[in-house]
Amino acid sequence: MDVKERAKRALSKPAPFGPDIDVLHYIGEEVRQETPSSSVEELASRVGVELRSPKASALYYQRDERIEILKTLTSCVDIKPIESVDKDELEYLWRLVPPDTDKYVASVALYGKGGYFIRVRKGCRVELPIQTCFFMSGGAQLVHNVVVVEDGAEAIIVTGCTIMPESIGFHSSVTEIYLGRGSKLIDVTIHSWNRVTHVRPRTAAVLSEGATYVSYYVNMSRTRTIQTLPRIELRGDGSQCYSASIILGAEDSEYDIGSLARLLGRETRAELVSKVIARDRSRVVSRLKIEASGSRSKGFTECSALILSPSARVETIPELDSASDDSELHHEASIGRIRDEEIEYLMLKGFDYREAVSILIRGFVEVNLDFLPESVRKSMESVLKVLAERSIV
Amino acid sequence: MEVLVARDLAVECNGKSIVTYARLSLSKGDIAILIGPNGSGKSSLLNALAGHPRYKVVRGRVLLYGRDITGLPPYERFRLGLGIAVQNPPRLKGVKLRTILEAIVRRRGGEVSEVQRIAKALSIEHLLDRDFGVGFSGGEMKRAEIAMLLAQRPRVALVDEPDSGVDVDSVMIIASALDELMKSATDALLIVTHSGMIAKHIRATKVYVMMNGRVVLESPKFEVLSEVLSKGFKWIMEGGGSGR
Repeated sequence: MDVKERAKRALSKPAPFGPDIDVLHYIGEEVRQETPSSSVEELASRVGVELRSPKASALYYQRDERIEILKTLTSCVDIKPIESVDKDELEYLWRLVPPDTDKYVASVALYGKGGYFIRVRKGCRVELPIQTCFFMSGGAQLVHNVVVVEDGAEAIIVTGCTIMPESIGFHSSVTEIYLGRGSKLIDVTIHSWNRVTHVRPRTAAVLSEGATYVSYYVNMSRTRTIQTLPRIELRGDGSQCYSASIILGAEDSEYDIGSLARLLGRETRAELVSKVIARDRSRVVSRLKIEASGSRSKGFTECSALILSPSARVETIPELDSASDDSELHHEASIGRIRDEEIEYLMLKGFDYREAVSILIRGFVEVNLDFLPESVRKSMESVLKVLAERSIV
Repeated sequence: MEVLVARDLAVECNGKSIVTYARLSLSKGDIAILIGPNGSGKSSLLNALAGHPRYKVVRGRVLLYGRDITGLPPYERFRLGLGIAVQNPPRLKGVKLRTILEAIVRRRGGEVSEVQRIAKALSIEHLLDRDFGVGFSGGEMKRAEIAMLLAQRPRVALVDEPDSGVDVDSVMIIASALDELMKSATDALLIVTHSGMIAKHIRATKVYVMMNGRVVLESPKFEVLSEVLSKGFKWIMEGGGSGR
């Protein structure tokens, strides 16, 4: 059965987690809002992507369904629209995320427009990030991305996703990532949606022997609903991953966000970290799961949450599942609030209430940024500072 | 000139009366030692002077260089030049010591490069990029607190038990840092001590004794401190010194 047929059959299949959305309601909706370029650049900058003067090895910018910028500045990186892949590249499509996974994936398979195919050539170490940006004026944006990092290659992808304020939107993305032997990919995604947007990213990555996958996901503003559970398959022996999600739930947000790592190869390693801040009436489910079957594999999950409003709610679900008698899996989970004595202490040191809370939240969302090069690290620190300020009730 | 005055102060914490009467006055150049038994209200008094939100002044006034700061929040007092090194700082997970010190230095218009020099002076360079207080020893915690005073350069500094639970080397480092403060930016120090150890390394100009929530003795005689430390607070109750 071909992709379209499989997708059609799944068009009303809900996802196992998260609120159910009527996908067809958004598809084909005309977007009337015209957005000045300056606004787009400003919004993109807030999610870590510089469109005007990018320090990047490649740049991809999609506005609604149109690809507006597509360029590469190094022979080490090929980037093209997903619709333009060669015949021999088709084998990468729909292998990791089947088109009948759920209605959101099916909608991408049937109605998707845009998305990229990126290939980082064998042995290349690309120091400047590949910057990608998905901007929405409203309506539906359904995209399919594939990333292939060949043997021994290294790259960083920084993706920013955003929408015009108050525009009703539905964003669904399918991203399939293939890491060759000894390769390394740092994958940074920053979301800044609005209170009426629904978001359903579907991501899967496979790691060959000795490969490293590092993922940072930041959701820095209120979003009506998000459901995502990226799957990282560590198939190759000695492969490893680090995944950190930093999530702000605000107003009436409903999120179900997590990560799943499968330790399939021998001596594989996974560390999954989730930091959730919930304010107002937001509802956040944070699920981290490690499944181990590879011999001498090791895994660690940390689910931490801060609740800043009496009406907010957080549920953390750390899961460990081992079929290997010599694997080591650990988890930590905590939900708490900022203690008054911490705020009062910082106030004695000259910080007003907002500054004190902001410092403490920034401290709470501290994750290991050591994988990032200096320029991306600085950008990430700025994003986390803004997130901390937006968290203050 | 009086730089810090507590005028007939009464303080409550969580609705409970903690300090019933405190009168003290620091002039330029003063290094005042405040001693008293456990639970006599010394730390509460310092917190109230610094404007800690939980310590409410229910009677009396606090004056800083003649300005009534009784109603000001702590960060306003900080900006006016009042600093405090607290007795038991909380641990701040994820917040680096360097982050706090740099923010304090920047606030007074200083260069963040000063932080390294301050850390060196207090032998806490190895703590700069660690979460504040997490895994710090008692002495390291005290030295980190004093580092914040060096970063702030307050005009008047309140120092709560810098010598409790620390070894003699730490006390000497802290005394040296306080001495540096007095030689540079600071006009007066008010130091709470339980053991009196810090007083061996710093030249005090006056001694206050606090008992049962009251400042019961003010004396310019440094010997009062050694008398109390050798004879106990009972000596004060029996009329030792020149009690109020």
